[in-house]
Amino acid sequence: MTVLYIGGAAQGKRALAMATHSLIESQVAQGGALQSADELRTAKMLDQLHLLTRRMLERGEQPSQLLPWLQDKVVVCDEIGCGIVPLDPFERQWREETGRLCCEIAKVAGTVIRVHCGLPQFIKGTLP
Amino acid sequence: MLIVITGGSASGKSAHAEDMICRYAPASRLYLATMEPFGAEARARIARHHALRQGKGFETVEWYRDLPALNLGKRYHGILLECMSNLLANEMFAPQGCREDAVPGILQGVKKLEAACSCLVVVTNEIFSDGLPYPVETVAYIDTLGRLNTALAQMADAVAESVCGILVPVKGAEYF
Repeated sequence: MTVLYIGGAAQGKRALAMATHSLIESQVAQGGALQSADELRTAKMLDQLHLLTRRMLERGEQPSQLLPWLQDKVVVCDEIGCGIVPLDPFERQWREETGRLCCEIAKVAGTVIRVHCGLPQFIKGTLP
Repeated sequence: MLIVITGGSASGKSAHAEDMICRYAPASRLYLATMEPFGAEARARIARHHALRQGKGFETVEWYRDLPALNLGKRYHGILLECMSNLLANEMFAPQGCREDAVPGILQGVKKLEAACSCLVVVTNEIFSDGLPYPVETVAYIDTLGRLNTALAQMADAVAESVCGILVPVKGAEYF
């Protein structure tokens, strides 16, 4: 089952997700540092999805192609669409593509958890 | 009835707003579009929204500013106004806009729309959380949209935020 953690920056999403799913560092891929598809394939959790989508857009790749790769993983993403719409087209595209991808992940996820101040709010499903 | 749907960019607000209209307005649905079709990106966004609405029986009226001056000439079951952030930007930044405090005029226009239908759904935006420094005009816009959203939510029967396409009720949960 896919579980999505969403929330503003520095809200304790990563720590909450790792504790909730009893994960250790070696099972977590970092969107900002990920070097290969294999790293993502073997990881149980993808942290910083928003940094991975940004890196993909910088390379001219479509973030939506990530969707099948995220199946049955714990996915953590910053909510980046709640600010002023930026003047720079790339910045707008990043927010748009990341937002749409999160909508798609949420659609197939069994559980979506919004994190404020380190506290979980279940907005879809529950955890066993 | 007034329902307010808010959310960040690309959070699935429009689809939920349309669902609300389809639920509460059996026929005669009006889509009130406030985004001016300037540039390719705005046109693509408008086309995307148009495709979403396709087959749901919406008439479309484009209205960019001075909401109280809009005379629809007939009643509708449902009106969907999309979106408040564009309407306010048009008032505050376009040469023909009202410039000074746009809030009273917009609220008056919303009340008029509410009286012209059984179910009014207003889409607005969450633009308040990036914490970046902005020029004084943008700060005024953020401040005004915040006050507008607060006033709308007070008038509304129901308010929900769309998060990753999931509707999170914050007022009148029974309406969702």
